[in-house]
Amino acid sequence: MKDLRPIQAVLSGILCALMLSSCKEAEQVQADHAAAMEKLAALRAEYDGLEQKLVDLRKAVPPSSSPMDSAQRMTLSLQRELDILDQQIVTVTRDYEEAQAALDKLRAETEEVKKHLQN
Amino acid sequence: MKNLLALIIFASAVAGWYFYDQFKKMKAGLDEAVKNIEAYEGTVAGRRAEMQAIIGALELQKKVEFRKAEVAALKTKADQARAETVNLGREKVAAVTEARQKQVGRVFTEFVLADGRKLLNVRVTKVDNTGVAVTSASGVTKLRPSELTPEMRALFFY
Repeated sequence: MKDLRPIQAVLSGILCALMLSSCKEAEQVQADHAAAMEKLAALRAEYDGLEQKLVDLRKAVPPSSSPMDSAQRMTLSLQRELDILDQQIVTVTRDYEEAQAALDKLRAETEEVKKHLQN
Repeated sequence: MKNLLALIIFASAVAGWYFYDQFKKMKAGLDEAVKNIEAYEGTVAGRRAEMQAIIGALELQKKVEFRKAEVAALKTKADQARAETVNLGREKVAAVTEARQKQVGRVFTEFVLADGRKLLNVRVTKVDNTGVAVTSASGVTKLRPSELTPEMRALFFY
């Protein structure tokens, strides 16, 4: 009968090393899992916050199945309106300047006639 | 001794299987969490884009309102200037009429016209928009503004 103690010791050692390595790997996975859950919770909180803000913001855009499309359509339409208004400002400013220049000229002429009258 | 060895191997196999199962479950949980994170990241990015789009549209709306107010203010100012011009025009007409009336009765010993002709002993009898009526040594004459010299035109406000 051979002595099996050395084999037993070696086997035990190998098994212990294997288990230790598995435990370390499991620990790493657990840490990753915890970090992932933390990130998920942060994302959920951000999502909830955004949803809450969007509730009020969505009321400001025309109702649509996609508020994003609605906002983009609104932006395009407003941009066109803004371009038209910018052109109008140029025209109206010129109109005002002309009217003001005519008034200033007439004012000067009237003043001159009045001065003449006083003399 | 053999039995003990078999027991150790068996116990190790059971423990190994248990650990492996737990590890597999944990790994599956981690994979699911990663998938969830990806899904949430996509959704959150969509919501962020939506929020930015709406905020952008609202800012543009404010700009449009501001421009509209600017256009309205300029139109009002232009209308005011035009209205003031009309009133001042009336005032000027009145002042010119009064100034012309002051010239009625004025006597000029010599009245030189734009073409060089000379009228003698001229007396202004009427001044209006169409011209100056005078009596002179040669009779009654109506002088059109174009017939007057620049100095005379200035005197009668033409």
